[in-house]
Amino acid sequence: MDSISLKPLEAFLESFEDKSRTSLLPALLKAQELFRYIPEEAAMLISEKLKVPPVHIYGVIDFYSLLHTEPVEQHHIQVCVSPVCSSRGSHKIVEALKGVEGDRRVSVEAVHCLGLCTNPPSALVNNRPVCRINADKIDELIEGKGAPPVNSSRSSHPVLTGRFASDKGKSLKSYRESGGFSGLEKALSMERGDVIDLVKNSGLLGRGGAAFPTGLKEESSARDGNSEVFIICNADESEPGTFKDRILIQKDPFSILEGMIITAYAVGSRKGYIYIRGEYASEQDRFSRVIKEAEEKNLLGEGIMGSDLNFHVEIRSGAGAYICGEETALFESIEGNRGFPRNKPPYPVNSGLFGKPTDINNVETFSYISHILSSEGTDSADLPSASGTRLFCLSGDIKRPGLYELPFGTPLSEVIYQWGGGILNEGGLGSIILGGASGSFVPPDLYDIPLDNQSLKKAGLSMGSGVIMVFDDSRPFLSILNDITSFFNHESCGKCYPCRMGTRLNHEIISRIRKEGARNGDLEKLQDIGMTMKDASLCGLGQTAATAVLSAISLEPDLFKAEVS
Amino acid sequence: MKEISLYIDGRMVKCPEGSTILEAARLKGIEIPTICFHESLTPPGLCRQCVVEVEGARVLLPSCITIVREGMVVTTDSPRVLRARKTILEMLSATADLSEAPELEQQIKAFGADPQRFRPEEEIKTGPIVDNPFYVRDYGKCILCGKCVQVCSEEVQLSYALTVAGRGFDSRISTFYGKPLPDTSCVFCGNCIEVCPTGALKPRKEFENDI
Repeated sequence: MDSISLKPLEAFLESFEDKSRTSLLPALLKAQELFRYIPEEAAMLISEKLKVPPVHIYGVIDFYSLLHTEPVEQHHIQVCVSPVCSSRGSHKIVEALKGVEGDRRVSVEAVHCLGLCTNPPSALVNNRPVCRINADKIDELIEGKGAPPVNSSRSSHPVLTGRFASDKGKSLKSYRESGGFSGLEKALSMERGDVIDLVKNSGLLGRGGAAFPTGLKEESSARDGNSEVFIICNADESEPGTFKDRILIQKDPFSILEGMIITAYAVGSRKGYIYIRGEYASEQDRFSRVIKEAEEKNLLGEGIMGSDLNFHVEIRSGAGAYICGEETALFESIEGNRGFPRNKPPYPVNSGLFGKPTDINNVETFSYISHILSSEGTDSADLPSASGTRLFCLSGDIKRPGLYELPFGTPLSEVIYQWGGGILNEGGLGSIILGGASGSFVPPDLYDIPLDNQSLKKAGLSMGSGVIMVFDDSRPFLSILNDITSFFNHESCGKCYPCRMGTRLNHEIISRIRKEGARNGDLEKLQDIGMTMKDASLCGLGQTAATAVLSAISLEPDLFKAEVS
Repeated sequence: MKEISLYIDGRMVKCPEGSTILEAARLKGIEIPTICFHESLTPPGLCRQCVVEVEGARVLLPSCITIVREGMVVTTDSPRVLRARKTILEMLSATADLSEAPELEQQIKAFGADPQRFRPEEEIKTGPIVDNPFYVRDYGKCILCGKCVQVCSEEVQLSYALTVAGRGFDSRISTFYGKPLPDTSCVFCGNCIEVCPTGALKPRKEFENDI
């Protein structure tokens, strides 16, 4: 092996204010960037500087997909193989890239969802998004040529997307001109408890998937201002079919930051983090410029807007692990550990990051908080539902895929036909998945269901992170399920038994049925595995990882039964 | 100390405040099976074999770490619980060689689990690693309960020679970059051998006698 110079890494490690384990993931990402892998010498240096046992560093490297113990090629292409991109031929592209020899050789990785679902299939070429890629144009793809991502959005009641059309979220100046930071100003003029009450009374439910009341979380994590409380914005958007947070960060990032600062004031926090998935390099850049600009204008830092509020925000990058979107796994990741979810209780509001009370919310939730406080927001009386609007990520075989901000209660069929324009190429509707890979296939008799939490819950469905994936009738159920089970097989963290083994066995069985048809006992096996995962897994990922399979069984049981000869 | 009253399988149990459901059940002689639980280690709550049904809870709860509450109604043998336990044992049988795990074999019998049910057509055999004079590591028998890593780290020895590496189904116990044990910080204290429930870690002598 060529000898490597550890000097640049050493300089980077010296630059850390906090030379402890919490700096481990940033250090490893830097080493990966410098050496294209993490050599043992680099791991030992990091161990010495951050005081982390070497074996733990190895365990962390080996957990995250973006960290490697062997060098990867300079030229790196990640191709999305989650259901929508896969149905447009992305597996063929992966194979074609793998077959490239000689000078043009690239390192290829099949990844699950890059948040670029509206122009499939998509890839990242050296971290840069390229869309509508094609197996016949491999040379162009290697050069990074292809369509740029299109972030189209429409809305009947633009609140979250209110600044999109005029691009008012572009700079701090245009953000402020369009009412930005009036919410924070208002909050700072109120008692902290009254800010919490306002959020509570808005009926806002978390937009990450679990739909927990945001105000209640604020109330439970609030402290007197003298003890440590953390604010975390969860931007580890990785649920297949979800791209709303990526677009919000690109188009209205200051609203997210404003929501975080308002929340910091309400709960008495001095330090916040935004954890952005490692695949969102350009969103990380965007948000770091946002933080810098806000710091320059005294919207972050000491004595914000002349008040006694002190609050700082730090960006943390993920390193390729869907599970880190689970809140306690995200804490572990910031603390420098493998992304293993914790057993609950204790809950984050009592013991979260570094064991301190923590208020963690999704990107969309924080943005919405800024609108609740802002006098410029849409009057909620104009909306059919008191809890306002939410973002829907519509993708698949649909004429107008994109981001739609619609009131709660909008019927599913209206999103697909009126907003989405119906099925692409005049095809027939095959299936709809609501809620992403951890969501369900929607039974045809529920295609008109109003998209609000109560109606969905009653029907045993969930909108999760707002994903609606539509497939035409040429897409076999089992192919979609194969992609979904492959995703969970790749992303289970492996901590608890039901999910570690269940995700693998589920994928093995589904992929065999897809190739050879079902055997006797397959249906019962899938039900036992699925129900065990749902009932007994440690975290929300494991508990929902079999939802799609179980919903497919109840819709099309014959697919999973051996043919009677 | 305050006393808590709860119901387990219809029987009233009184136990000290702060007890776990598992502790409360054992006071009355109600057996709840465990795998990753070890009396002298922090329960990681990862095997989920000790799950029970608690009235009002959406999912099954691990009895080893769930603290009792006044008036709690617990069922340790409902159909949901039995299905989870049996399936966990069947999945374990398909993914590890349990021939030297007598406690697990006993559970397989007790719950009527079929060890062949999920077994792959072609079994992948991993050979034992013999890289030092003292221990043999046979990870084909490993069930990833994590006890070896616990005793090697903060909980006992502070040697930090072992970790869980990989992710998901491909998780495994490893040393730093997979190095042979003598090239690591292992001090051959024997604690990991002591806590291994499946014979994945064994003293070398015993292993040699076996062949």
